[in-house]
Amino acid sequence: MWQYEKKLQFPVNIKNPNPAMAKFIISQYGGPDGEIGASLRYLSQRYSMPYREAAGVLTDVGTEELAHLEMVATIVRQLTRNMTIEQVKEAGMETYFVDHTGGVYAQAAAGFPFDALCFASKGDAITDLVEDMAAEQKARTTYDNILRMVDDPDVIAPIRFLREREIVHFQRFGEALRIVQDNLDSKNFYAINPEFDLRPQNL
Amino acid sequence: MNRNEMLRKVQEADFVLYDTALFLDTHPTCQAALEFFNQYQKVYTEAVADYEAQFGPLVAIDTDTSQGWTWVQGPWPWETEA
Repeated sequence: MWQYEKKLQFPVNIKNPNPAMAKFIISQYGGPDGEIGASLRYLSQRYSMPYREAAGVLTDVGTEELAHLEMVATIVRQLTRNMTIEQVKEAGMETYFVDHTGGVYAQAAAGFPFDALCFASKGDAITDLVEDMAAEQKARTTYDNILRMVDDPDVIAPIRFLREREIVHFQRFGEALRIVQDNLDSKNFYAINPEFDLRPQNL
Repeated sequence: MNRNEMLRKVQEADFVLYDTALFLDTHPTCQAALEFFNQYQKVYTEAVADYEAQFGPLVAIDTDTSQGWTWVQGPWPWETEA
């Protein structure tokens, strides 16, 4: 189970609303490399993960991604609060506004809605952990791209925090992959799928 | 300390524990990390108790019902801090 804690993982206090920035930052809420996809990817993969340490990393990183989802939503909310119709038009947010008003909706910067196709759960320990390492790098690149386009220090600070966490998660997933490989035949890591072939009925 | 300063103490201790927990997931026998984690468990527990005594529950199950349903009072985290 999960329990809500009434605090952000890292503070977000944006003094100046700027809906134009929210338009692309929302991609880390519901886009292809966003936080909801990351969280559901790891939390889905853990059920069939046979190695205890790797299942721990998937559980704990998947949980932290939910805290990141809340931070991104908070950034979007604070950038769009109290916006007037004139500001909506100036920012080119008419299409978002007509469907969601000031509500936070899981979509990519390009406007397409969150799609579970963006997260993988293959049921193979090596495949899934390599996917996770790539996912962390893709999210890191997205945050780098966001940082190229924002100039407000109130936005930069939490985005930089989120970017740093992608690097830490990449490191932990790399260690989880090493632990998985330590349990396999070093002459051929791919001879079997440990999530399927090492079940008692297959031995 | 005001609300934001006390909340920051909780956030800092929580972050230390969270990041160390992730490290321990892949280094479960690292004695230095275990001791570091234990040290910050105490810091975290104290920071949460200090904050909740003044500003209400951080988790719903910590609500002191003698004060009413304080869980829904006070700012939500997505609101800008005053």
